[in-house]
Amino acid sequence: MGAGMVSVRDRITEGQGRRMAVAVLASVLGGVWLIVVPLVVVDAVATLLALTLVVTGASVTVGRVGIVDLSVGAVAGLGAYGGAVTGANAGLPAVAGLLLGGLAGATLGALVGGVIGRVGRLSGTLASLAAGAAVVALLEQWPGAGGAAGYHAVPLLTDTPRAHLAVLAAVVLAVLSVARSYARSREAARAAVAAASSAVSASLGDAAPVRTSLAGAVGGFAIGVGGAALAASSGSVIPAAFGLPFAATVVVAGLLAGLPPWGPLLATLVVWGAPVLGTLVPGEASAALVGGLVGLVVLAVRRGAPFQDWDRSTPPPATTDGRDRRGGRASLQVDLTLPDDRRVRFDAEPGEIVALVGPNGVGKSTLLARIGGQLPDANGVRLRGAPAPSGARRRARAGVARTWQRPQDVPDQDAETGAAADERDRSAYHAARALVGADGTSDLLRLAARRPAVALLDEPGASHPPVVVRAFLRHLAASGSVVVVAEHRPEIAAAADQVIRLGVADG
Amino acid sequence: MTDLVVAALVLGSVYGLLGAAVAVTAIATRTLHLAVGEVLVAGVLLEVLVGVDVVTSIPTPLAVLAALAVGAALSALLEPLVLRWLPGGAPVLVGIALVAGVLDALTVRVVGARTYRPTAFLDLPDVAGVPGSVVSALVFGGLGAAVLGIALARTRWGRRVRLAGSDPEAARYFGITPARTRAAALAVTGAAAVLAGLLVTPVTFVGAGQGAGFTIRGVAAALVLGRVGPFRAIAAGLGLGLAEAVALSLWPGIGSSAFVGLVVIAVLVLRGSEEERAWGRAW
Repeated sequence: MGAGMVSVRDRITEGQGRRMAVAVLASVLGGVWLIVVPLVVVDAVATLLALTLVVTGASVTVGRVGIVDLSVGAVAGLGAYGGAVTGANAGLPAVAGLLLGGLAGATLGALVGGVIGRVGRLSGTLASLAAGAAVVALLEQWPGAGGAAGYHAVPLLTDTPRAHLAVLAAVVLAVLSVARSYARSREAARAAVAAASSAVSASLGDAAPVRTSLAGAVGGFAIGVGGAALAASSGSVIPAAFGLPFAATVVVAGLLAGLPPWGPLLATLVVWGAPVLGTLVPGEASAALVGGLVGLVVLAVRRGAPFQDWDRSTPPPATTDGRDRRGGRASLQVDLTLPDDRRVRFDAEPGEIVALVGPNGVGKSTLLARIGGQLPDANGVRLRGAPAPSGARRRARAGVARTWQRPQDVPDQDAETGAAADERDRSAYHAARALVGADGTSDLLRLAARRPAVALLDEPGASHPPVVVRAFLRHLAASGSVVVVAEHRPEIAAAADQVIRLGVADG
Repeated sequence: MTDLVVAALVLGSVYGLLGAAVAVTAIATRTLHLAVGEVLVAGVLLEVLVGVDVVTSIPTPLAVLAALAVGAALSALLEPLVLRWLPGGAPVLVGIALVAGVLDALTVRVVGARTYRPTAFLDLPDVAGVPGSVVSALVFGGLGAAVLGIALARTRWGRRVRLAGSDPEAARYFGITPARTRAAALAVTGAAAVLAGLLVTPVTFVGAGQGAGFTIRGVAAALVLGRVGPFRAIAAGLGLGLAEAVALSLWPGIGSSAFVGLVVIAVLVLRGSEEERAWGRAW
């Protein structure tokens, strides 16, 4: 018994012990504060906590993943109606109402997130705005919930305002904890890459809409719970309150927040503190007019930087499920016809470097895209003696990785985290980092982190010194990859075992 | 049926002009003018309030000029308020959306929920029984969008706007100040948006809180047909106008917001992403 206690005590580090002590002290002080504080303050804090839930969800989707989702107001509205109003009408327990609100929010968040992943960031912003407007318009037509006039009999989560605040605080802590875990996960990194570039996402073996949809669901759940909590705290739900002014204020706060828990708490206080606590400008529009503008000014002063930096240094998982393990060796056979009817054929074994050389516009990048699966290949590409699977995503999963001539605008750290297959075997990644430097552009690091069977590089000499590229190519080949590089620079092409000349006379 | 066609054409012309205006900003700034609808509403409400005895009765042409100037100024302010301070991508979009939200809240606060019909100021004569206001909307809407398209494609100003948008660094080497060029493009967008709002008179009212709806239609007209450009915006605007006119005739109670929103989303999803289309194939 004694030995067991010592063992448990040993496992609690000094830092953990300090945190536990702080948590216990905070709980005691919070309890005392909750008993003595006036009710008007209790109501205001409850509103701020409910808004913190909404901001937490927006910080995940807008801040962490990079989706400009202007349907967040409607997601909160759907959470309020789906959770608080439906729950109250059905006589469900309050916590079940919160869960229903979260599910309603997650559903809409997933749908909008998927659409944004499918159509790209700019068009996705429009789609989210349209989705938000459509949902608010439909809520205004819902006679069961009071139509445009709204529903004004939403009960508190518990019988008394003080207990309501205590329950809400517990819910906020739980949601902040989940959001923090998600924001630091590999899933969030891959969603951020998907939101920035569906092409890079596909080259990592991902379907961008699926990744952004998952991120939308996580953020939508928090926002939906927040919407339901907001309705419970205020006792009312009015569809028009979830329109563009609210949505824009939420996304500003979400962008400003950063990593939970402190980021969303601080952003909520900055944006809604004055309207909620000070009632500087009475009326529904006060949040956007005061808090939104304050948030925008702070965001501008900070040049878009959040209060709490996102921790993007999440290591990849220590184990692999096999599907993600893209290493191993593969031979490559290519037999393709270029647009000018010239036939290109070559075979390459693991460890071999093939250089594609030729003037601009001759089809080097097109050839790489056909090998990479971004363009159709008419079964002209074979891996390990069998036809390569069709499509960039399936081909990436089969071990084909690539870089682009113009580096894609994706967050560097996220791309590396998303690409890394296995923490135990990151030699290629570390070697690439040693070669190109810690501040090097992410394309070579991303490629190396995938330990590809086939590595495709499109004019790496345009953005890296030839000496670095040559060393990098040799390193990739030495680790067992087939390397195909499209390049103008002769000093890089000279590193190749085979040189395929395109668009120049034979001989 | 005639009413439906007239409504479709008027709305289509107005959305085409609005889309062309959004395209100018998109080309100059590489971002979306998410406040274009709010600028439209603010300008139109000003024209109504100062020109139709509500606040003070001044001659209609002066009221129109004041509305156009306010629209241009509000829109141009996005450059020093948002574009200059926030990094591109998501932060700029969020900043513009916030300005839209603030304008929306302000107009609701100032004029309330009432809707107004803009003064018919450019009425051409009736043509074959079609009211002059309708003819005006068709002619001036189409003409305005075409002028924006030609100005972008054929004039020195258009070349400066395109260069400032595509490569600000190169623009500086040619003696162009990107910030000033962006502000000018935004001002043109704002004035064109107010003009579009004034032309909508024969079909619908304009009121505070309708800004987001106009933004959705204008940005959709600029985006849904792929590469952003004023002439494509005219075609897309006519399509949107037809969709909305049909929706209004079928479900007048629900209004057109939900229907138009779903149509826009469906078209975007079917179209896929810019990257995907650039490669010509889905991945």
